[in-house]
Amino acid sequence: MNAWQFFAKWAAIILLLVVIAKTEIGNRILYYAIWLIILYLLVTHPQDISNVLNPGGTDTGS
Amino acid sequence: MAQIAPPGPRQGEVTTGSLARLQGYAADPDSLNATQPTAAGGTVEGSVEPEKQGKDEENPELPQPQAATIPVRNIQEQAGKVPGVIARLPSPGGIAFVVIVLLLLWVLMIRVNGKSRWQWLWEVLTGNAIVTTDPAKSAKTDAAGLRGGVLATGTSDNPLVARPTSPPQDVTDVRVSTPITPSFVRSSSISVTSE
Repeated sequence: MNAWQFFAKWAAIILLLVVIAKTEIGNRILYYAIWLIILYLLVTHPQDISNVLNPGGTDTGS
Repeated sequence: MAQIAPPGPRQGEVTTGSLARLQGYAADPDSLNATQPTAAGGTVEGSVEPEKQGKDEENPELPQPQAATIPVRNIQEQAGKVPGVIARLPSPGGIAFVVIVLLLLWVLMIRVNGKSRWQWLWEVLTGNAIVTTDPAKSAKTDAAGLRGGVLATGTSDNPLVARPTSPPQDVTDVRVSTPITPSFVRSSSISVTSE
């Protein structure tokens, strides 16, 4: 896969998400799905979040 | 004669021209003998036949409209209540807010190979890192034009790998244990003597 194919794939995915978000029901579904993704990232990357919130802290983790 | 226009349809109600006139006749039976506008722009007097007029007098309430005049809201209710429940769910901030939060989280906070994507972007712009799709190939490239330093290895989950352009001491050695000191620091010696 070259760079053009990479960007074309992601452009198609984003365009599809925009079309879905234009509908009323799709907008709601995407809203809660993105919140779930945010919560998943917060749960799976606690050290990264703490490094951003507390840059002066130790990197060894709890 | 004065032209009496039939009452307009209710909000959300789909009606045709002829059925609108029938509803107007039900509201005002006297309008049957009034001039009515036609599609061609003219007027027609007494457009309703006497038989229909007699029926209207006996049964002032017209029968319920057919499928063409069912209000749109009834069709939405019949289509299912689940989409309505989903549409009524609140979305404070809108989808733009959550997309911005997600992008900030993904770019600024999530670390890849030790650094966030924002940090890797800065490293690439300043020439301290390169972006490659093949970690093994980039290792050979780095070995040809190395300047010294730590070489980060890519993973299979991240095909686009940003790697520092500074090379390791050895091609097989991916970590530098001792820091690199400039020559002018090594040559000079600082001695503290007490009198």
